[in-house]
Amino acid sequence: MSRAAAIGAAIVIIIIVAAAAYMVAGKGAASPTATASPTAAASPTAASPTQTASPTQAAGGSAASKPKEITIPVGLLVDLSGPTSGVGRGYARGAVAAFKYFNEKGIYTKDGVRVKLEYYERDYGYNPTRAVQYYKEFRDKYHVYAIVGWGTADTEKLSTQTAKDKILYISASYSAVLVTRPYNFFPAPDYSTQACAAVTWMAQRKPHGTLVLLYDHRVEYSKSPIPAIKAMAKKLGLKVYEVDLPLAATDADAEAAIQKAMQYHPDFLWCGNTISSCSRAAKAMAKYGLKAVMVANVWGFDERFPSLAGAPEKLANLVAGVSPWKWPEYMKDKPGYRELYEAARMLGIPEKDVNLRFMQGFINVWLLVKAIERTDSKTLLQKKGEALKEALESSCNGEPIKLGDITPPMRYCPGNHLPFRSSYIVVWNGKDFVFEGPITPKGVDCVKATLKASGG
Amino acid sequence: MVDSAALAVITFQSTVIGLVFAALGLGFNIVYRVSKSINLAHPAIVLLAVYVTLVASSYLASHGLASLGFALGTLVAAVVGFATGVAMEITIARPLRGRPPVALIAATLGAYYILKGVAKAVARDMWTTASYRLPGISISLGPVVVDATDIAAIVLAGGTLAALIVLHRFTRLGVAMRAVAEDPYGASAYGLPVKTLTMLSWGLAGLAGALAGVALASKTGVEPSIDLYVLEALAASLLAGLDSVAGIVVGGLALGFVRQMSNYFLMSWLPGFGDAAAFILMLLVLLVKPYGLFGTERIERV
Repeated sequence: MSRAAAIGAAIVIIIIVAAAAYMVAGKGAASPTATASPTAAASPTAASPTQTASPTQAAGGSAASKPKEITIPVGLLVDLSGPTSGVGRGYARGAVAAFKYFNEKGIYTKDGVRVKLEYYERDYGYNPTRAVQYYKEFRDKYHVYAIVGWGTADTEKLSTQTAKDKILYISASYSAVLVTRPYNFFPAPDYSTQACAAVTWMAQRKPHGTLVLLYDHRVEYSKSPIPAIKAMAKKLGLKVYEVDLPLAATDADAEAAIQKAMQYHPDFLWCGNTISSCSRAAKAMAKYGLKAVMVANVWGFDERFPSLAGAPEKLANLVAGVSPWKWPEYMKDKPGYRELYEAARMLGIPEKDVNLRFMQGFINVWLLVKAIERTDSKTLLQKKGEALKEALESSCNGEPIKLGDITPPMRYCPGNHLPFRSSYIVVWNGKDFVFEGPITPKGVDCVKATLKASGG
Repeated sequence: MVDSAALAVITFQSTVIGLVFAALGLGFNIVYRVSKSINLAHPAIVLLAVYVTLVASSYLASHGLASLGFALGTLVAAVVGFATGVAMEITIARPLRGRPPVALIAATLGAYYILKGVAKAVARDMWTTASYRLPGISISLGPVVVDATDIAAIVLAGGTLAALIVLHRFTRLGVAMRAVAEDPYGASAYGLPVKTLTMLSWGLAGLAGALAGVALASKTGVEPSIDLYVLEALAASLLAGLDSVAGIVVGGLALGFVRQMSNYFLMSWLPGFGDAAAFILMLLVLLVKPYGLFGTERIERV
């Protein structure tokens, strides 16, 4: 083949591969506008022409010319390619499904104006610096009212700015630090309160036992509940030791951590990383016959845990996870969970993919929908994110917010966005998952313990 | 006091992870020898192979071939790795031959993103955390327990290293490939098919990356971010010297030991220092020997 022919062939192949890659990557990574715009046929207002008021126009308009429909921009910040993408992908899928589902079903303000959510999805790869860049894009280019976000480091970093910019921020991070931040919300107890529930459960099983904390000492998300765990363990008489386990752990790292932990003869292990790292540690536990009970953080344990750990039988009654909610598979016909499956059916998502991570993404968007339903169109257009924040905080002394049976009644108060305090401990019994609880930690203010340690 | 059982376990795991790093770094070295440039798409070849194995083994398992799934999946990944390496040589390296090395580095960076997109497309719904299905083997050697993931990693990484080193040093094909790497014009004058041998070298680099990737994923689980480990393996390549094929074994093992031992012994004071320690070691070696421990020192006359 001549040189010219080789170059020609090369160019053709590169174009074909680039086009294929663009089509694929465009669905997830940094697609410029992954917006949800329901078809006219599916829209209840399709029979009459809709009046879509852009926020700026409507903000200047009078109340008398109430729009029939408004579209509000929302940012969706997810990790599809970074170290937490193992759980981030399911979360993103749930959030996207919720945007589409609620847009199709119709979201209405208190005064009956239909609201459509136009969302812009960005994959920041769990890189806080990139998160800040995307935040600026959301704010300056798309003028978003709200952001459905992801990690602890980036959400905490952005929380001061979101308060200044008055943008509602619903995160997948349940860090205690965010509980007091004015524009940050999530439909769960914070990590510290969840972890305190786990410590309470441990103390109920074996008072004065020994607890080893396995977590990445450099990662904000992993470090977040540690002060609260220590405070709760002290209160309940558990001895505590700490061992570093990297968030991106190889078997070699996990085995080193378990070897170190075994020197303390633990009765319990707390795993504060994500599922990949925690399941490697559980695998090492099984390999070296450590008979302690591991309880993992909410992002460290889900339906996949036993198969990822690779020793489902050996780990019977030795691995568990904290979860503020029961998992979809066990609650299919209950209110709230039904909506998850309905959304999945509507969008052609297989039922097996409606799991804990999917639900976490879904309910974060649902919380945003609840905020919209608790405000009126004029206030929404005028005060934007501030209106949404006030709508959620109206639950403090008013009607609590409920996402079907997924959450208990939730109340968000100004200065305290801890909506409820109970969590389940989900135990793998060798064949199935068993939900114990809900457990509400008592005797220690776990949020305060973490805030005190972080100087907040 | 150091717990001897723990020390034995960590020594064993350091060796395994060191072999994996060496095999991962091998692809960088093979490409450097023939093209005098770093192939930044190598991590994406590894990523692609990891997901090809997962998809192929899951497909085979769903068709009643669960016991052969991993082995056949790895075979498919090896073919894909080889083909990707060959395709990259034809489409990127060959047209840029004779251009400054930085042009090829930039082009392979572009290829990295393209191949990552392809890996995503191949994985589709499986683009998430997963584990290969391996048999529940467990062998106790004193305090050390060797399981199927250890065996898979040792066989794949060690086998790849051994096979390619033997090929390079002791076969006629290897001699021809070395001749092309040393002096392509001289090799051409002797009638060696330079283009074919260069293409084959890129293919073997892809093959090595694919098999090393499967070995790595056996030890880390399948992760969309698994390609980040390959950048760590670049430290092993630089430590050994980018044009040394056999030296990579020493580079990989040094990286594995420094990383794991630092992580374990400095856990209480400097958690997670292992990653940094490996790069500090690389830096120190390069300060003393700029071409790496086994790299060829080039003297340019001006």
